Amino acid sequence: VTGSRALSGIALVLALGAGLACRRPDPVRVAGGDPGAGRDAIAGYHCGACHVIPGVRGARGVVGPPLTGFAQRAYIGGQVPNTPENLVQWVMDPGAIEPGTAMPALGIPETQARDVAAYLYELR
Amino acid sequence: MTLLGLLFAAASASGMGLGDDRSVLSPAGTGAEHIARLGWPVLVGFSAVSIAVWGLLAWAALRRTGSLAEHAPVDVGGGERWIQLGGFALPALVFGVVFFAALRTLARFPMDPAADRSGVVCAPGGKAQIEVVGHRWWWEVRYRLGDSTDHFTTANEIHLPVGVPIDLDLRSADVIHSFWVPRLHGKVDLVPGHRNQIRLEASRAGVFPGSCAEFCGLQHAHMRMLVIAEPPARFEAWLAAQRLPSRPAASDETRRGETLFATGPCAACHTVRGTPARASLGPDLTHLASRSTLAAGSLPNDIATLHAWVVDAPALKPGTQMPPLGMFSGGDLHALVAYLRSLE
Repeated sequence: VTGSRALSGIALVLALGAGLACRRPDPVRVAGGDPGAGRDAIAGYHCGACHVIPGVRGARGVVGPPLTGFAQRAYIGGQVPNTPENLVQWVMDPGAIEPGTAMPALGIPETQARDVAAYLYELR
Repeated sequence: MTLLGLLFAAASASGMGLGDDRSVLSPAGTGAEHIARLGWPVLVGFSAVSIAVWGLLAWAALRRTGSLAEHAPVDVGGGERWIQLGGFALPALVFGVVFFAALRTLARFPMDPAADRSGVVCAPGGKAQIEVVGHRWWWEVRYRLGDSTDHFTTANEIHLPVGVPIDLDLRSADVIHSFWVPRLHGKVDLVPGHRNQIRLEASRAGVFPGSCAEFCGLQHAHMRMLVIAEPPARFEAWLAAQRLPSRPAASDETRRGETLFATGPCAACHTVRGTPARASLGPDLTHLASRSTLAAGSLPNDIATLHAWVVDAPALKPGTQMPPLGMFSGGDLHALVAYLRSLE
């Protein structure tokens, strides 16, 4: 009986540890970025013409990659690490990071690009 | 439920809660004004009849006493007047009045606009100034004012001068469509092999949405158009700008786009006046950037959507005759879109 109690204790500790380890990572913060405004900007620039973007109405595009779970992606454009500053640059001018990419620069100003990046990091 | 339904129908008919007003009950043109003058009394009158009938039913239901079994056999005496008056005389009166009122409204529209074009601004030879050709699923719009060198073709947007009656020839390139701009006039079908006509006169400036009103296939619901009524001076300026061929490409990128357009698959279907692209299977793109929508009013005309549309139009509008064009490199695609956006 004592042995089985000890075993359950170990199991409990293991389960708690696993729970902690599997907890979702903290949201990535983009300095100066507002996710709500970002979602509006994404809708306004019609990013959804090419991308599937969860939470944005009508964003069912198949021309570019889906942005589901974007916060978990390791790379942006297959080129640079997925960091907030890289993402802001990518949103503003993808060709500067990946020359020859089909993704256009939409003329998004930096403040709005920060909002867009903030929203994309909500997609976990 | 029915009352709620009625209120809902009335609310949606008057365009409440819609971003853009398409209601026949808020007319902005002579034809629609005649129709609304008939429509309002019909809507109000028929609503009143419905309310009265449901009221009487409710009254009868509440007045009934005892169980159904107690009432058998049914008392047959004394109800004949209700049937004679309510079931025959009243409907005959109402439908008679509506019938003759509708005939009077119809009489205000010329049966054959070509027969009397006094006061109508016409193309040379007394022809209708504008020809609209329905395609699956977009509208070709041909302006025929002036001599033949002044003629031009555009798509999905019809500009009109305010206060001037203008005749439109209506034709179809494939199946039956129907031309309907609710705030300007009623519906007229576009029938293959036949020429129909409609006379539009906008009584105020504005942008009036229209759509195909005859089921014509997969994208019937996305076969829309905009009628833009503007003061005569602005209309003339628009005409003058549309008559011009496209401006020569001004930058290296747009020049690259122009070459891609004229030598690639685009020129197999589209015209850009002033370039070798002269095909007419798809919309004339000479002044594409001056239009506010793509794909017959179904998509916004902006950078992102234009990229996606060029690469994979069927993904955005399943069934469209425009094929997916996946052969462009990223750089070519940007050049092509930059060129299209320079076609003002």
